[in-house]
Amino acid sequence: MGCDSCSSGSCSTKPNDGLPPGMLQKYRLNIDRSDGFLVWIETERGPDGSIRVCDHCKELLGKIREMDQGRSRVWGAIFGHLELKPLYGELYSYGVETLYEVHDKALSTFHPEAYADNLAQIIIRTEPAVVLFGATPRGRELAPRVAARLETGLTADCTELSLDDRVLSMTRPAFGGNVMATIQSTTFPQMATVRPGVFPVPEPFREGKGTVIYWQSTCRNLKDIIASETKESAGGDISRAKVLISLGAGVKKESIAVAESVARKLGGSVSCSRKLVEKGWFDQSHQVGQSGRSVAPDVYLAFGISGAIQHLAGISSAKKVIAVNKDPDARIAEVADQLIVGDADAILRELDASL
Amino acid sequence: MRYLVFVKQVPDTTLIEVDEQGNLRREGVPSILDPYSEHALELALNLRSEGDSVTVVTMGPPQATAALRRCLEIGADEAYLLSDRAFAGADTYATSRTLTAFVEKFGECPDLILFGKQAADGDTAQVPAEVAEMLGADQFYYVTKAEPSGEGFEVVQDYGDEVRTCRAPKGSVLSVSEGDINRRLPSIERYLQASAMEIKVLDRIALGLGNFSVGNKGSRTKIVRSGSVRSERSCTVVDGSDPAKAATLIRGLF
Amino acid sequence: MIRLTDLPEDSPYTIDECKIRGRADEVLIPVSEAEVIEAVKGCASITISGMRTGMCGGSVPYGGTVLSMERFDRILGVGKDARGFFVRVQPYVTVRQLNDFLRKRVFDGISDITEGAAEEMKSHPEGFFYPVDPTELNGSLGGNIAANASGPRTYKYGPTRNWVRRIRAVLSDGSVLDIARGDIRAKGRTMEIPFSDGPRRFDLPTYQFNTEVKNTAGLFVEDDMDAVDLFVGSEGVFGIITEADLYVIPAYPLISSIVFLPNDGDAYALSRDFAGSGVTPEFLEFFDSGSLDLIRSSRRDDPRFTEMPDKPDNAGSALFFDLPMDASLKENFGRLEHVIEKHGGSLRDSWCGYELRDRQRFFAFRHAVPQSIFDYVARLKGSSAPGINKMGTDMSVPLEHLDEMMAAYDKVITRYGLEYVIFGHIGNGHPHVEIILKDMDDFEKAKKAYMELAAKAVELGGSPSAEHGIGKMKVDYVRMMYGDGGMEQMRAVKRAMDPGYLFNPGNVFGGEAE
Repeated sequence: MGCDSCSSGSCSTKPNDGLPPGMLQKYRLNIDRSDGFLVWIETERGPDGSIRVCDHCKELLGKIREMDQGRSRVWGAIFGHLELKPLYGELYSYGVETLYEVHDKALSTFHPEAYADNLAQIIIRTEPAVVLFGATPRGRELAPRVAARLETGLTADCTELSLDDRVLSMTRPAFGGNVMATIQSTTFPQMATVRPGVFPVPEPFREGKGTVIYWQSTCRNLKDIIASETKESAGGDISRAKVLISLGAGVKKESIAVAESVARKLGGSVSCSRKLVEKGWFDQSHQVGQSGRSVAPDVYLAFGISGAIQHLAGISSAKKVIAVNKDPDARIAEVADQLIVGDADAILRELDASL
Repeated sequence: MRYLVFVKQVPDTTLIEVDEQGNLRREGVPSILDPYSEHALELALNLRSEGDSVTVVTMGPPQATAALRRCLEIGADEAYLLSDRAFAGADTYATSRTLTAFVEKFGECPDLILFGKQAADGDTAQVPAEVAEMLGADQFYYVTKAEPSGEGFEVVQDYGDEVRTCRAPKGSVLSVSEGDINRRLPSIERYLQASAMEIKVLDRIALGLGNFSVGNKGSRTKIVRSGSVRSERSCTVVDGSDPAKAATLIRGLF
Repeated sequence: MIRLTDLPEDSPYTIDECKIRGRADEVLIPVSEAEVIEAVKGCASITISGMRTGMCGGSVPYGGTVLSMERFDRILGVGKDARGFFVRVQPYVTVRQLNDFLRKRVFDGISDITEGAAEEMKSHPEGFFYPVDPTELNGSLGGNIAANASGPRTYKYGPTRNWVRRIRAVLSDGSVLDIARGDIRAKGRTMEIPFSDGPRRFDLPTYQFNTEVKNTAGLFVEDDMDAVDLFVGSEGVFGIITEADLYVIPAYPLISSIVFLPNDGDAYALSRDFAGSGVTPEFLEFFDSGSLDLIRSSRRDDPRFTEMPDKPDNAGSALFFDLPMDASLKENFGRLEHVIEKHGGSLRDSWCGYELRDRQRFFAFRHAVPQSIFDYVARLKGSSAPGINKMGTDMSVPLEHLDEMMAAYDKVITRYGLEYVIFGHIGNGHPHVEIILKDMDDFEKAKKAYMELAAKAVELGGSPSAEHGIGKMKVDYVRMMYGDGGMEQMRAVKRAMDPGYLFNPGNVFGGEAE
């Protein structure tokens, strides 16, 4: 029996898109027409209170440039109000050709429902083949809401992307980076959240010119926020640090101050394993690993961290891993470039003194 | 109030080891209730007061009843297993559709829907938001606290750089961060009670879902390649018994 | 062979868990049996060293050479005989390592001693375990055999002795003795062991070794005893074990429970009634009110001190036991309900758990008692508690005399003005009484109290050293049990087996000079 909802019968040979014929959903994008890239531009406040573009957005724009060589269009979508103006030039220079600004004072604050609503509409309007988010706390909350709205697939926390024609292959690690799964979306747009820090921040490569389109938000579903406190994490965001001094259960509490001093001298931050969060020595925002943050520093110095698989999962994107541990068989050796067998507290102290 | 907690059974990842070739050794690794699910359940149990109920639900193979049993032992009132061969191979989208169908058909308008912030094995953290979107409900991620307030709830979320307190209307979806808890243990009395409780099993037909909405066929992503990678790092072991020398070595990297 | 000389003051090779610091001229680390023999032939005095987790100084050297077996850390093979499956291990393999292997059963590089044993073990769904569970899982199996280690599960499975199939040991003349159970037996109390210069025949001590209670005091002897048993529990005075076969049994799922009771007496009574209830737990462990209070106060400082929920406030004591999770579990809990209620408890005031991670928490809770004593003393002394801060007793008595012994503990220790907590293997009539030492003065008093209590235990038909062995610290108690005559008979065995007092000088019966 042939298929009677299309004359060619091609629906049966189409890649499995999960829907029977005749049930195309209202938001389904036209696969033939979908092209180009859309990036959610996440912003943050600097120490001086000024707004800036998160580094991972530049990383994503640089990766798009590298994969696509400027053949397709690149859109940015950003939320906020007048404070965003100073960012336009920079965004254009990193590859955004058209910036959709959801122009609404209320949306200077993160509201996942309203953000998703507007993003979905912008995506339907622009019909990109690929939509990317940083795998940041907010990115990972927002992206699935958008994907569900568009009834498309989403791959979380990717560490590698590659493009073949318009088909995006998304690779993500599992179990401490020992298993890599490469995933493709069977529907358009193809969506992914990408781990910050895995791609380099490129040099600006384009003239700072482009178009901004002010988008009127129609969504009135805003969260009723009673209170919001900015948290000043002492060493800054560990997922962006270039040098991390990371402490585990094998160090004494006194070493925290030493590690902070070393971090200051090396221009890095202090992070920790889950055990120390459990002990109450550190706030969870410092925790590296599956239940904490994924990090991608240039150098990861692990002191007294034995390396539970959940921890290793968080450092698979570190460029260099040096571990100091008294146990030569510590599991962290599986991912370390160098394992220094010795007293972590003493070596840390010496390091501090020698810097 | 009715609290609905979606839980998951996972292999005890703390016991999984990797062999020389980078393959996972899963022999003898027991399946457990996902620790993240447990935090969500813990929050629900703390919220429950006289007359309230906590229902736990999981999608999985028949063996997943063990995880539900554990939930009953530590205090859940009722448990559902969503199980059907057709559910196999579901990505987050297909999973979310299945869970959403449960809420719509059997959920009886829950006052709060809770998830763990991620699963110890999959680690995507996508299902709560997808279910929230499919239900048209508000979503609250990274929840560290929740308590009843007025008509709804007051929840505290920790985004890492921001801690916000919001009012959450009834019917909201919460993705619960880990709290600092000691896992509950049942009394022997409760253990015996729970072992006699019924776990209701619902299949695809009972949930009113079409073949193309669930499992592999209902998924929006496909795994094209999966393999163990040997880490390229070849670890050199260095003697660090002299702290000063070790420190010099480290300093040499910068 | 690796040779370390000029050992630093704080060398790990000259101390064990009794925290007494010895001294040694050198450390030898052989990598093969041939090197062990070389060491035996070349040294004047050898203290055999494994993980040094002993509690009585058995591996603390008083001069001479430390022979560390740390390179003998491999599991060699698996086999099966009429009794069941066994694993061939080198002496430095730890109990934890063995049990991990039995659970995971990855047979890379593990040979079949009997054909198809590995395949058959692999196909067993639940895996296997080594039933002797000394609470110190990091102890080496060589040390476990030398000390005839026991632990909570001795309640059901007996001590290490029951699980040793075969040993291979280097004797004092450098010859190798490789014997399985049944190969060499004594005739009455006369034993004959082959040496390179021919068989040596000697008389075994004539005393009655107390097997009614858990006992590691003195050499084990019985009529027609097996030569394997001469080595098990000998604390390394007769030879250096280089290989051993240990029986293992199929694992089965267990559920751990802790039942809270109003006070200490209820727990003693319940532990006695347990046997009569028709339920055999894997073990029966006890926490007294003092232990529970210590844990409670440690948790006030650090809620994660034990990863357990808060204990009921009214709990005055607790019993901890494991039961097999089989078809009769419900029935067994039903039987226990009656006796538990009879002694003022209920199934409501209890915890239970069966997932591996939960059971690990139960055992961590059990281990929390010694740690909380440390914390307590640290709080008294200031920020840290260097030196000795507790003295643990290790005496067993027959169950019918348990109440009397408990009363004696309270009377004697209180008379000396000391504080104590009690926990441990009550099911064997062998709770650990931990005397808290706040200063050196307390230490002197505790030693006197200990001597009195040891005499009481012996008087009640018990042992002054139930499981920790004698080492160098408890030689006096051996003399108390067997008299000078018994000591001399033991030394006679030593003189026959090791005339030069080469191996572990000082252990069990002191030095020759005595």
